Amino acid sequence: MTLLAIDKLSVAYGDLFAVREVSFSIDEGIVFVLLGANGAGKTSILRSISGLTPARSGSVMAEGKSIVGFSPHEVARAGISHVPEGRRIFPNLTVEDNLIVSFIPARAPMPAAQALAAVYALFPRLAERRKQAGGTLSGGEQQMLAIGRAMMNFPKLLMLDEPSLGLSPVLADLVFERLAEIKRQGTTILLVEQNATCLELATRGVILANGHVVLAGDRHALQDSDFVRRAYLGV
Amino acid sequence: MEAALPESARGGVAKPSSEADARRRRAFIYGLIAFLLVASLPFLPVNNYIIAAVVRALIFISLGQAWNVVAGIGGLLSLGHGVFLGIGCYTTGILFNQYGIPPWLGVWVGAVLSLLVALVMGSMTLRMRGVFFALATVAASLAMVQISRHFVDLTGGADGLALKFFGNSWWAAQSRTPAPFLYASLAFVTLYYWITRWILNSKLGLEMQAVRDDEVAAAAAGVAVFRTKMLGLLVSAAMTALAAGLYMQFYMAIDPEAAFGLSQAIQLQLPALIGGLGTAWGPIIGGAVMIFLSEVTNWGGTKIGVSGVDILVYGLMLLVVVLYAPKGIVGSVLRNAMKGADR
Repeated sequence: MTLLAIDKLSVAYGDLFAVREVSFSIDEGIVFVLLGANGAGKTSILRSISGLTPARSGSVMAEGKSIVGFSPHEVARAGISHVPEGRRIFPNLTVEDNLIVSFIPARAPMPAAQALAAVYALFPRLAERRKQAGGTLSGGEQQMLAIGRAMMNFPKLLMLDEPSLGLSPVLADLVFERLAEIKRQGTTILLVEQNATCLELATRGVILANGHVVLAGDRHALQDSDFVRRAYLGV
Repeated sequence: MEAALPESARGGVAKPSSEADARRRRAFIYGLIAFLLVASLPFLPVNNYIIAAVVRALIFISLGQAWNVVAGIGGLLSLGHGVFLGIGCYTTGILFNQYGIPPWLGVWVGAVLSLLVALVMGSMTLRMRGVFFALATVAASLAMVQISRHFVDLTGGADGLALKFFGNSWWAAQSRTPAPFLYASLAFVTLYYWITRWILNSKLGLEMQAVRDDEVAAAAAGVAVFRTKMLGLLVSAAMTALAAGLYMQFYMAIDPEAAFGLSQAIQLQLPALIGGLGTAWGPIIGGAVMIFLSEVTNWGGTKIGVSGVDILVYGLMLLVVVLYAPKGIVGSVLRNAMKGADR
């Protein structure tokens, strides 16, 4: 079943188009990757799905219903969680409060304590730091917190904007490994990355350049494409 | 050390929260002692001047507590809270002087009016960010100065409004001695402390702090940003207007500058800024320290024939705090003493 369908989506800042008529659709239970260099329009697509930047034209359908014009919290309450670029945790709140903020009792299938326990099981490090202010965490821990916070919303679709940015390769691997676990538990993932190693995790995806889709396909098609070879593997 | 020994002898690991519990208990006991001390002042050999100074401090604190809700917890640095102070004062005053309505009722009318004004002010300003919001609230204050000057029949114009004096009267909520105001203002500060605590521990408080820390992330986490800001502003406006009722009964007079002027807007911020933004103890400690210092320096100033030293003290305190202790007294000086305790 299609969870999210994007059709001819355009996003513009003033006269400057960051995304031009991009279309793709995401089936339930997969990891969908938006791959592209800086300025390809990846972040703009995520921001317009989550209502942070209104789309100029085109449609965004979640489970068959249009979510164009939703404000960000309405999108979150519709089951689409956005882990924004640069993590953006709440620095003055404790780790636990960071998590509880996005817990919405009406949406959640379990009480807050159980939801916290589930996130702590996913990221044991966060349990150790429960009472610490979010701002005192390391970059990797903050990324875990940002993902954990999104999971507290029990999303149908988890959107991540460059979760490996600024992390060491070891930590980036850890984050991707946790994303695989989240997918295994049944959450659909939309992953935005510049880093082609994330393709290991992908089911399908598109490659973007200058706001256009240059290639769409499954993992192998993307991995074998000239674009990825040239841009990322240098062969 | 002695307490640590039997703990380890039992082979148990000290619970990490036990020390925080002890601090929490200690903070509560200090608070209780301060409360009892203030409450017993009329029975101690102190003169009415001192009691009146304490009342001034408590009123100052309660207004600071109200501002702290929206600014400290919510991160909206409003310079427009004079609007709610003024509406509270003028409404109780006008209803009493012109219609004979006792302040016990008038203050609630003032609170409702403040809520309405906050609703209008909020819907115009709350979508602005940071400094733009602050500037818009300044504009609201300055507009109110002109408005209150204009309706001379109602407000007394630039001369202001003085309550008709009835001596000691329950009905008029007036007193020749400051002691009744001491208890009223102490009740306000205590109530507002618990309201602040309650907000900090509530989901609303959590959402307000999330919006304060990062608006985009809060929205992405499912927080209705505008609604959260509006709720914070409404609570804070109502608290300010109610405390303003007490202000009016104690000072017996209000004028446009005292209500809506810029210096008042800045003074309303000082207790929380100096004591510690977003904490329940901050405005209490900040307000107490400031009034104490300004009383002492004013007293010293009159000895040597200089007046207005308190304004200088306020300015210096603010400078020192901004430069050396941006988290205020509670967040910096008392940080370790209150670690883990409810701040």
